[in-house]
Amino acid sequence: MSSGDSGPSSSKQLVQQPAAAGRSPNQPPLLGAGGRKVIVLKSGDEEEFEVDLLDAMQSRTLRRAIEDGCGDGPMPLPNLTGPVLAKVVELFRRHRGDPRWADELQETEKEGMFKDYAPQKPTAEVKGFDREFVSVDRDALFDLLRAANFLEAPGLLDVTCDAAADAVMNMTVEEVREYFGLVNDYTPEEEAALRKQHEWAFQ
Amino acid sequence: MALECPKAKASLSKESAGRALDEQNKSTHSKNCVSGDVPGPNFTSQADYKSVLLKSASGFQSKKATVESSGSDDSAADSRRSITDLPQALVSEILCRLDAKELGIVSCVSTLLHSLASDNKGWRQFYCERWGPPVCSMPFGTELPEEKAWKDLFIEREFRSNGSWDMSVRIWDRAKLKCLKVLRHGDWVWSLVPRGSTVASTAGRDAYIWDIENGDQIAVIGNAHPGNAYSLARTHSGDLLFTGGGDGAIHLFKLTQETSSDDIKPVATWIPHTAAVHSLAFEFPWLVSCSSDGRLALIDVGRLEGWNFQPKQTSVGLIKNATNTDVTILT
Repeated sequence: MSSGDSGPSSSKQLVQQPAAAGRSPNQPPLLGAGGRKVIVLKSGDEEEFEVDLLDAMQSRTLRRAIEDGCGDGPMPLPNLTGPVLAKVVELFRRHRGDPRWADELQETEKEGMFKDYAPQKPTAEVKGFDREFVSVDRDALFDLLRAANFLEAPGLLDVTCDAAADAVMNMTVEEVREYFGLVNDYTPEEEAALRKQHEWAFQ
Repeated sequence: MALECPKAKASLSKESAGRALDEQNKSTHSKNCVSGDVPGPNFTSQADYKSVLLKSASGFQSKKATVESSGSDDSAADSRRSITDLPQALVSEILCRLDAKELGIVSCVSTLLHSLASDNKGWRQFYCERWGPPVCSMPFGTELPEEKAWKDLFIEREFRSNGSWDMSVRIWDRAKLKCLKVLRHGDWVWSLVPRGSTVASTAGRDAYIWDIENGDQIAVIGNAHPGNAYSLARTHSGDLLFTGGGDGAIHLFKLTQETSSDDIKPVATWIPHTAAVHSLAFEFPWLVSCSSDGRLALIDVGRLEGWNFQPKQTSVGLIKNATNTDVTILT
């Protein structure tokens, strides 16, 4: 009876305080619903997210960590918050097989691990998801950009950079300054000279 | 496994710590411009907040630190985001998705964006996409444009003259001094020759034939020359069209009534010059061309092989690269 009790409770403990407990070497890898291998990502505010191992490979940062043998416990990502990570994990799932990053995988293919990851053209559905994904306010977009940069995920980077570029399209100098949160560090004379020099852009 | 993982984890967090440090430096800079508005609490970044606080407590930024610590945890944690929180490579990545005009505007925003928006490779790409790589066989041993110059080169070609050149040809009534028609082109107009009820023009790489009466395009010869089709000459009947291009080549096009404007191919080509052909004049049988390579070429069109010089004739042999015996070069 005592052994039966300790089993579930210890595994529960594993999920809740995984960093402290660690995993013993003879345990099978974590399996997701479909029997696929999953890893756990932990945000800076201690939220945990399960993500398909192969989906996580979209991030070069995560891939390096996984290849270093770090994929068995929750992977701490202290500079990503829960809401950001939730969005990112969703994007990774939707971008499965997206050529924006899958091309790269062909090069690093090992032991046929990615053989069911044939790149496909982004479907209309994926494109729709991408649009929806970046329909967030400015600060949220910047957080996603920063996450994309930290994770080095080409697909995420592409979507977020496009959104940032779209946002400043057709803006005036002042609006761009406001949007990017930049201070005007020109003297009035310098700015006037620069505007004259770039007057072709204002036509 | 348990032994390995902490090590790997340590390296991951160290990496992120390094980045956080990097961003922290930038964010301390950017947070001087805190504008006071409070972003949604959803995306607060506690880690950054703490690191900024630690840093600012020690430095001369103490004023900012008090501002932040005086607020409630959630709202103070996040000042308004700035693009300077992001690494420059990422900002460049965003900027390279903008077009030339946008980059011009962005350049006026701040010194940081100005330097990022002046990236030479990007402007080189703009230039080459727009006009193709510059012709190497420039006169007087002109070299390829120097580093740094691509932005200037692009702007020079794309915008500077736009104010005065509106890429149109206007047809005027001489008696009434009224503009009857405006023929709009997709690029700068280099040359035009009227004949009868039509006018031929070259704009950018293309050559056009227009109907003067109604302003319709009768024919378009797309991509007549790489770079620009600078010069134009026509026979008196108007059936034959000579174009001279930035590539130093001269093409002869034959226009017929049933010309379909899609696939007009040159019936003859000469390449007498090593630089742009800026002017052409034709008087049977001589075609004279002048080029910025400093030379004139006299071409005897009547001696074209297989060509009975009868413009109305329909079956015409293709003569490419007519031999130089037909061309007299005057230097």
